[in-house]
Amino acid sequence: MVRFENVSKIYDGQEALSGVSFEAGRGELLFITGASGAGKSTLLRLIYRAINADDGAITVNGAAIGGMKGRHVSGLRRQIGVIFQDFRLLSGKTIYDNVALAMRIRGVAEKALKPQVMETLKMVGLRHKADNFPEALSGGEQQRAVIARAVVAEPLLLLADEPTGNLDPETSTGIMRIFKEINARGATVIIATHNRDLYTGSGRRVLRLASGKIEREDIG
Amino acid sequence: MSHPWASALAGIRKEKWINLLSVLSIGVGLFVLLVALIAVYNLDYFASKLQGRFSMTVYLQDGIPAADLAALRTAIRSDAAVGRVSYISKAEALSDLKKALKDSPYLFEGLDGNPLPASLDIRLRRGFASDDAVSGLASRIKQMRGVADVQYGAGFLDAIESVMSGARTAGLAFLAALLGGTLFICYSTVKILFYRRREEIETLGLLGATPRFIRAPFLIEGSLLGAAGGILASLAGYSIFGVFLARFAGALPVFRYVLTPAYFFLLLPAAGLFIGFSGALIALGRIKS
Repeated sequence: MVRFENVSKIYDGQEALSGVSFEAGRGELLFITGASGAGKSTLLRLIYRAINADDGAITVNGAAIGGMKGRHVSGLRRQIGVIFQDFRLLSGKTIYDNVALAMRIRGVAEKALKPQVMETLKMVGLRHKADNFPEALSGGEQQRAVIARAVVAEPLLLLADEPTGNLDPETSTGIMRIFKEINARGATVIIATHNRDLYTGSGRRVLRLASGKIEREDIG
Repeated sequence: MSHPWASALAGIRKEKWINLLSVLSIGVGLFVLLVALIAVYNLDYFASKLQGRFSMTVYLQDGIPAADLAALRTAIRSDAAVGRVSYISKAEALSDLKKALKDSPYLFEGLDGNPLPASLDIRLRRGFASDDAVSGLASRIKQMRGVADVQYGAGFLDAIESVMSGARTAGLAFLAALLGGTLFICYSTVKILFYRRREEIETLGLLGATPRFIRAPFLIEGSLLGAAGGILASLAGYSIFGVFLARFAGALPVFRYVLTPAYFFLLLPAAGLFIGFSGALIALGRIKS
């Protein structure tokens, strides 16, 4: 589903990623871990083409994304659900509208999207907050709203950047259960996290990044 | 309600003060545009009226035979520039003169016979009343048999034409400047709104929204602001012109003749909508993924 071949990314003369190669198969749940600044977020941002690689080749769902033109980039992103580290919830829209936006962008009709949005909000425990605006929600609730937006359209690929950063251990477990559920439905899930509890004992592949390089690969 | 409309209306509500200010600015711009348009329209109308009143007098030789006179009239009438030809006999000419000078009858005392010549009064067709056309026609008529002289207001048409073309050019330049100014207001408003929401736009892009999806609410917003400005200008123009012309027509009769075509007022909202849409389109430019 995702393939990196010798990918490098340089910010202001400093290598954020250096010659990274790995592959995440279709339907796989993969963890990327490492200390802050190791390159986890950069790796995810490269997959949804928020940034371009300086070297190497990236393939997502069979398509090389390096030289992709604008409208194809939009198409690529519609196949991906992203849980942003900084949430990126739209402050002027209710939680319902924030989640529904992912469906509207995909051209789903208003009538058809409502049951799915409400169902997803229920899954993340935010059904009762549907009419609230993001500022009225706690950090953890906002994080769950972002997760709902990322998964509502049932993307082929789900990218999560520190998805439990603002959550208590109990909620983190609940969120992990959601990811496993999405993954069980066939989606490829890549989670960047420094939260050891998320992957320990998971039995899934864990790539450890250090200074922009894959230091080692383990099973969690 | 579809997403672009819902988003546009929410955007208008959210930034109501900026939008209100923009509507007022567009309204004022379009109102001044309306005044300029009415001024140019009236100037054009009165100039064409003046041209329609232009006439040429062909003085005939005394004792011109009836057959020659008939041939002359036919020849003149066949000219494409000529609209109407009226014959004024010597007797009619004298009677007209006496009527015109009825307060000074002593002028005619001791007059032996009728010294005035018979003449043909020529009215030109609209569109042919230019100095070149008139002087060409006059020199052609002068060559004809039985013609003593041809008189017309040489230079008059040119004067009207040059004043008109000057006023038209100045008017059009003014209209273009106003249109440009109004367009700029829409451009700036959408640009400001776009910058204020750039984070939202960036997020939409990252979620996979197409440029068209991102643009649509802004284009709707710009069009609505433009149309609202147009409606405001139209209502202001309708009420101000109604009150102004009615009030001043008593003191200055010239205002009675000012024409305010109804379709100008109806066109303003459409013009506002077009300007708003164009301004927004320019402001949005190319959205990169």
